[in-house]
Amino acid sequence: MPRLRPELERFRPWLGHWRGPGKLVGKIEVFMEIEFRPIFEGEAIEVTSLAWDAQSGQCLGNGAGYWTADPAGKLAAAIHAIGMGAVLLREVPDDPGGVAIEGVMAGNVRFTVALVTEGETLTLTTRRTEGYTGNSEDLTFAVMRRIGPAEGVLPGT
Amino acid sequence: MLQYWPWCGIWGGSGKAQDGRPVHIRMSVERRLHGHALRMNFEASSPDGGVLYHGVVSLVGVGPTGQVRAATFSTIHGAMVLDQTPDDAGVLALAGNTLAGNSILVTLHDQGPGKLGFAAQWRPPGAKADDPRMGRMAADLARLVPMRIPAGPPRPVQ
Repeated sequence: MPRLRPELERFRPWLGHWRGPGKLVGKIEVFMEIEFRPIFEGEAIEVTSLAWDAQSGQCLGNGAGYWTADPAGKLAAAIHAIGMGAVLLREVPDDPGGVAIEGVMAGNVRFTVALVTEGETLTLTTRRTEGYTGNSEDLTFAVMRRIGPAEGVLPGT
Repeated sequence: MLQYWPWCGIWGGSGKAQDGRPVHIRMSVERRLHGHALRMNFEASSPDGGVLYHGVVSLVGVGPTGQVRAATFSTIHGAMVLDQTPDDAGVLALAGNTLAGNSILVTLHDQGPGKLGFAAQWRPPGAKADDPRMGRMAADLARLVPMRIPAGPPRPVQ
């Protein structure tokens, strides 16, 4: 079992690959994949995400980031995504079983990511909010399932 | 960013920390996010490789404003975003602040084919330039290339 620093232990059940259908900006149907992988002996979790058009295979979203704890023990994530650039996200209060992180990007735009797990299902939502007008827009909604080894399906497994 | 693509590969070298302690460096640079970013993985360890003094991983890319920024994790400083600061061609200079308030400055500079210079420093809030709490590290890096295995004796023709 890989080591994780104590503040990241609550994310242990999230480690691995998740994949499932989703929508971008409320209308574009995509498939999404997220991987959570510990790095530097569990001092951080590298999180990579990919969204693609299921028909054409075109990449419509791709990002990666590093989750770790801030000095207060809350989640802090430095991420970079195509079209968005780099942003530092900090944990904000959320329901039990989930985590929400948000940060401010160029142009006074607030970016929020929320993730909730229920059993083997991971739900991801992202939202951007204009800092001046307060107008917000849902960017991503996806419900993913864990991808694991298929035991007994293929010969020899 | 294009000027940094040739840095892709594995780099190694040795240098010194602020207390004169020798350090062994390994750095890998690879394209990520469909070529929109470079992932730099940096490890400074004891010369025997057994103790990781400092591990850093960073995604360096261009944002919508055209600014080069680096989403970064450090085993010492945690998560942070560093901004490119103006410098000469062939130099990547990144600066920013940690969540604990330390200021960070990292530079990589092209020193010719297969050679990179690395320097980094961090300064606690309010510290002056000669403050003993400051951290520094500098190293000369060389691109790691596969060893050429000498050819054996010629094989007999079948």
